[in-house]
Amino acid sequence: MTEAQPRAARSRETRLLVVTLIVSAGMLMLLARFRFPERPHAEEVPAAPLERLAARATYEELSGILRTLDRQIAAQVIALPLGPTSEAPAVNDVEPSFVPAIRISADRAVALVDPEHAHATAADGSASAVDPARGVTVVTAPWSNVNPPIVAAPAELDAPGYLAGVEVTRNGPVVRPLYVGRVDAMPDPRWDEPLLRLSGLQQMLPDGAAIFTLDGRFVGLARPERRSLIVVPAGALQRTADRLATRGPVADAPAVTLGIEVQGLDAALRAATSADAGVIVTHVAPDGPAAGQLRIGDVIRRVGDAAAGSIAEYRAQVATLAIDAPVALEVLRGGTPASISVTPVAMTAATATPDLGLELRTVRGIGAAVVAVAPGSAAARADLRPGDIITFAAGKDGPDAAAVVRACRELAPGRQLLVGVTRESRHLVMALPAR
Amino acid sequence: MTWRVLRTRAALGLSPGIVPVSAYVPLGFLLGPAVANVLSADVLAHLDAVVSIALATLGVFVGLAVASQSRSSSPLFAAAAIESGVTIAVVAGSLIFLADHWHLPLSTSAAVAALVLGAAGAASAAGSAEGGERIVDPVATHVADLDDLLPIAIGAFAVASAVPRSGDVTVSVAALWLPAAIGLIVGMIGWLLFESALPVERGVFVIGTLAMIGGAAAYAGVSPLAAGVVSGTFWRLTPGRADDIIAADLRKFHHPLVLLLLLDAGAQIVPSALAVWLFAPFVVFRLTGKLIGGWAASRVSPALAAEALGAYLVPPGVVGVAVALNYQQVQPADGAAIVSAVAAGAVLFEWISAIVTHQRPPH
Repeated sequence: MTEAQPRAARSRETRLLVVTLIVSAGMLMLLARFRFPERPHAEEVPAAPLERLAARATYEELSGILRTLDRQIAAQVIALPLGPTSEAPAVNDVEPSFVPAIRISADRAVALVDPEHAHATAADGSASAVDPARGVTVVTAPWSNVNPPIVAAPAELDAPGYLAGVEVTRNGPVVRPLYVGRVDAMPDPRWDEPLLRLSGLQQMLPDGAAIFTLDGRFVGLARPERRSLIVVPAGALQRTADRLATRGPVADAPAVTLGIEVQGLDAALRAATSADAGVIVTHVAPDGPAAGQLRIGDVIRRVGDAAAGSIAEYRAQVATLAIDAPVALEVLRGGTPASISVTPVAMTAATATPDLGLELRTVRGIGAAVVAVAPGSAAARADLRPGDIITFAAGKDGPDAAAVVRACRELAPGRQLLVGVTRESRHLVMALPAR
Repeated sequence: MTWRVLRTRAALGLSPGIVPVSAYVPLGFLLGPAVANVLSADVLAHLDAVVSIALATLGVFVGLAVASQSRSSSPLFAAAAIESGVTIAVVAGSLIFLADHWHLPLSTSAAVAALVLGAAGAASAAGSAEGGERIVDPVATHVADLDDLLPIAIGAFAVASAVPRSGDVTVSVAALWLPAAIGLIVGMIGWLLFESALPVERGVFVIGTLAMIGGAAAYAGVSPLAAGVVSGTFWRLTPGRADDIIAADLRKFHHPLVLLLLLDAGAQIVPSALAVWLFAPFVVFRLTGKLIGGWAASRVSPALAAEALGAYLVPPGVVGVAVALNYQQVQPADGAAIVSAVAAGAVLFEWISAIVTHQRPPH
């Protein structure tokens, strides 16, 4: 009897289980006949754990990060004044008169300066060494025990994300948030590690601007190119600066010129010239080495063996040329490719007055146009500006560039040279001091 | 022995007699954003950190209870594992089947959501003691203590799977083991600290240790509940008095934490079509799963009566709600509907349990 009771109980449990199973299966089949009434919604990206509490990104938080960064890098950034250039300004709208030089040791800083500016900064004593091919300028900085910034490895950069761009003004460094949509490695034969192309940017930075991560690590120095920034990584800059330090200053080599002015291609010029990359010739000096060879409207695509896809690349290549050694330019003229040989000359030969800080070109039948004025120079103090045309000098109307230069050189010490200047629609007379 | 088990369970706050789900979950709903908005969405977001610590604390309770009983009750442990495993399989399996047929608008994998519901349904809080005086069913209490382990492990797996990680497989695999690693490391820290600490500083160490378990697990996107279980088990199994110390200290504030979990779960209830569609099969198939699980468990341990066991294991208690809340923290889109279904189901099952067990004499 006692054994029969559990057996009966188990039998009842088993029957109950079978009934449960049958009812459940029936319920499952019944429920499966229905359809959810709402359409599937778009997939949502779930928040990270505790994100709702801890990670509410606001502009105030970003501002706070940038304020901290500003304080952190203030002693690591030095404002390097730029010298004049002989060629047309780069495509970017804002060309600063200063570029940031970033400390790489207690008494040295490195900046990215286009070759001709680099020569000028070297000439006025700002730079201790220059690598014109890469546009690297090393400057002697006031001794400081502030540590140089930690270098960020390119692989650590997350995109999309924010970096910080640093430019400098006369009053000091300025930090800006820099949204980067994409980071790509870009091999360049001039450098021992790939450059970085930052694209998908909300805003551009001026030539030579420094890039930092938001926690203060130094990414590199940037050059604008179309709608991207080409960044020379900090490690490559450091190695180039070290090589320059062991080799000594190289700024004593005179800058070279092809006697032309160029500008970058925008979309309209690309469409008009059928060129996808390159720089377009805007002026050919009548007495320069390219006279009779190049024409306004020619698109230079290569200088020697190297591509000249942008102003920066063109300038870097020209800076590497040797004086009096012909170089082949790959040119697109009227949509037809051509190879033209030009022999570079020293820039100061007949068109520049280094003593006055003035660079000129001849405007046939009118006078000499001011191409560049070195900041702080005698020409700058006399208020000459790029774009001015000297229509009278040394008693002569319509002097060419060589005549003005000669008149300046022949001026006795302490005397001044009266020049007639046309600035836009106004006519002025100025006194240029002798040296 | 039976009395000791029941007192432990009651003291740990896992008994519905001590923490009435049917009172606090509806109260949370009334205070939540859906009704009075006293516990607004912003307040709930700020409570997330505290909820993580509460989950870790609950995990420690479970770890202490499981470790103390598993050594002396191997057959019951096997029975509990079978019972919870069957319930998870029934609930998750039927929900996967239905989600496919219903075209449920789930943000993540239907399998993961179904596993969470299965795990939340498998946890039990058997009727144990009312005011520590009346024994209801000691065997069911044993099984209810032990059957929390598998749901917590499955819930931890679901949480680790739901958090998006880098494409590297090793990261995803490591995430599965991270709760155990966090639990062991912090458990070891606590073990070294508790006994050597002065009584006045011990409380700080205990709270700090729990905060570290909950915070580290939540930061890493893994289950604080599972990490707490590992720590609790570690303290119970290692020599010394670490388990007694933490049990004594936690007794002072475990009720507020469990209350917080239930209120939070109630406030997280969002009356939505998805929640209703999850609620119906959760209720039906959890009941089925418990009955089938109870029957299967009774085959392993002859001391168990299948019918009685199934009936006594019906209320899911705090652990089931905690599993759902844990998932909701990392996957808010689906988690809200799952928490709604589980919390509402917990209230319903507690009422069912009260009716069933009231008619049944003590085993």
